Amino acid sequence: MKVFLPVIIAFLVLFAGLAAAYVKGFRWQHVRLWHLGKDEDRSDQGSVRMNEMLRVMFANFRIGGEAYPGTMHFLIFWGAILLFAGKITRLFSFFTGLTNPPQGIFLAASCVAEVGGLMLIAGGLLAVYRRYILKPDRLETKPDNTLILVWGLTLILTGYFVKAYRITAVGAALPPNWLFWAPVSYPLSKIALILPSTPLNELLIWHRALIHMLPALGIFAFIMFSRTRLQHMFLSPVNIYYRSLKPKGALDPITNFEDENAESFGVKELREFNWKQLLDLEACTNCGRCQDVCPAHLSGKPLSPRKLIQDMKEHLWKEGPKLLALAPEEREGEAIVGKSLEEHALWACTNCMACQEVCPVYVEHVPKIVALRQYKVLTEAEFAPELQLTFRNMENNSNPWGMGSHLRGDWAKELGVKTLADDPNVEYLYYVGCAGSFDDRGKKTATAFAKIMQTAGVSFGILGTEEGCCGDSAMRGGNEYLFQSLAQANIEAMNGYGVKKIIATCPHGYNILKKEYKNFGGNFEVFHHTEIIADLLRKGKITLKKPVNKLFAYHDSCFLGRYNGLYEQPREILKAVPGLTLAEMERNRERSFCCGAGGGRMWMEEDIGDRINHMRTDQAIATGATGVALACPFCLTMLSDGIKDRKKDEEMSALDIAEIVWAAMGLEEKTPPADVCALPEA
Amino acid sequence: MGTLMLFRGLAIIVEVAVLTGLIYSIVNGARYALFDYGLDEKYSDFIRLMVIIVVCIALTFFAAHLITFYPRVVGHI
Repeated sequence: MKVFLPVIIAFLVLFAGLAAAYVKGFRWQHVRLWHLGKDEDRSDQGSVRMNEMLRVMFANFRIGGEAYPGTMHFLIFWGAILLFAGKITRLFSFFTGLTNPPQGIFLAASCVAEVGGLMLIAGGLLAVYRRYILKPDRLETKPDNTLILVWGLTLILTGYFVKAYRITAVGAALPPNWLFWAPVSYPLSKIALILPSTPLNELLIWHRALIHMLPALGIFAFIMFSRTRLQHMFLSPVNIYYRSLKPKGALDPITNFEDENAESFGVKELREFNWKQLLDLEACTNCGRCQDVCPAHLSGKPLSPRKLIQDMKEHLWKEGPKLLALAPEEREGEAIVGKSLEEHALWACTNCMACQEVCPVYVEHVPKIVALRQYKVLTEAEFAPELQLTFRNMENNSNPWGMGSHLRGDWAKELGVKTLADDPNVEYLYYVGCAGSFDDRGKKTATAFAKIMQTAGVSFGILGTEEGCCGDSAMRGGNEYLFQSLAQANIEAMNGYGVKKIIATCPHGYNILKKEYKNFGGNFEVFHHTEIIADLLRKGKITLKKPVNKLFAYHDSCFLGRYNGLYEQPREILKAVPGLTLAEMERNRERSFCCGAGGGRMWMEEDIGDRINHMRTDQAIATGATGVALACPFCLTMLSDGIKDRKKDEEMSALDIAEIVWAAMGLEEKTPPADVCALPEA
Repeated sequence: MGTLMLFRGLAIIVEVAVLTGLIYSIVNGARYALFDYGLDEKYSDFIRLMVIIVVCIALTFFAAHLITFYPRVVGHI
């Protein structure tokens, strides 16, 4: 049967031209759009990037966590791979003289392609059932979704028809076990209607081949030249390859504050993103995993990370070509916020990074949100009044509460904690942070932790009045200028004392000291207090002997867990407490649910939708726990408020791990803090 | 003979359904690509009308073609 020969010869002859057209089309359609953005070097560590890209592509590991969509994607992805592998192999059977009767590798290729086709059909049916019958909230069905499913199914069916007719026409020359090599086409061939003579049947098969091949070439053209989501087949690997290799959650500093000609800061329009951020927009598959885990979305705020990225993608596709049509000096893009993005959505984000954690193609949502906030704050000065007050307090008193900065070290006066001014020769600087210094609840944590360290003989000191706010809320709230000035003041003080190691009780401070201060000359080894306590326990420097007979649910702080991967140390400590039983909330570790305080939201009113801290409190209550163990002062405040608002404060309490440990050490002689000594019974 | 004709009729219906799917896909694929490339939305109604006409003509042709020329012999091995 030589009926395919002209098609194959044409394909091979045209292949180079088609490949060139695809490369040029890709460049014209995508690359030049991305390069509207600023430069950013992402060419480093090629082997690391390649390894991760291949791992994500072939293991689909960020998708596999969910059984239904994971199975669906597995079937479609591997079905397509098998189908193409089989088809391409069979393409060469014509040149080896082994076609008739088919043998060896070509028989295997036939089987592989047919199994691949079946997997694709099964995956497609799962997709249809999910998209049109189950209709999960996170899925947005666009016309091209239906088109792709119909096109794919009919292509596979026509492929089976072609082979079924070939089998029928070849007749007796078939190998005996053909059912194994063509498990779908062979049964189909039994019922195929054919014409009465060989020449007519060749014509019939030629018809069938055309009906299969023309739409097949059409779908390749459609994938390449339209904006279909199927483009994720090549955009996703590119995006994964060029993902950020910086420490998780680290943001790029604004570096041109000193530039007198700078007219704006942050991102107003497309060209102010870097090229990778624009690639991010195109690579988004609209799968909605980010939306499913976003606390702002789940609590009814006008933010869906999926929609945010999709809206900016639409903006890019609409505005990008217009900008490209102009000379570079004439280009002026439209503002993203207000046109394509609702301003409330921008400010609803808690920077919890749950969206990024689940994104299968490594889209980076949070840096974009912060960059857009920066423009609103630094250039337009348009942001929430309560945030204005917070920033002013941070400017004037270096803490968001606006309490006198001279009071910063007062919590430690009666504890005998040294300041670095008294003795700079200590191993650790304990960076207390604003909550530990000024907030009554935070002071109890700081006190308990200081006592633990004193008992264990840890050499540490504090900066006292020389300490300033770490600047996390300023940075995440878009006030990069304020953050940088706070950071520089802290770094100056720390470097002045030759600080090398820092302990922080607040994960926000811990994260920013560890990852962002480096950009301004602050190179420190930074520890969270749970790391230190876990280490002291392991080394036997502290002993927990007083039973704490309670069931505690541990809440993973976003900035400790997702940002820094500290999941085990807090649990290790809690498991070491005698009598304490640890309960896990349904959303824990990487999937933990934010308390609602991150991204500057701690200082803002929450007047749309449900309160996020109430939702998290409900999740803690659902475990049946009578205590919530925490490792973050922001979370402590939010969960304490949640417990009070849910009227559970008589039977339930929120405590920092340091407080629990100090209570379990049983060394408190004088009246301990009320919340510590009065652990409610289970 | 009656069974064969019934089977042939069913086969033609299946073929027309598959061809409908393919024509729908190709024509709409082209339509979406045009809009993705910046064609003004004001042409949307006109293009939709043209698509319907083209699809109807094509399907009429295919139905007639299949009824006339579709094979009448059951393949056997």
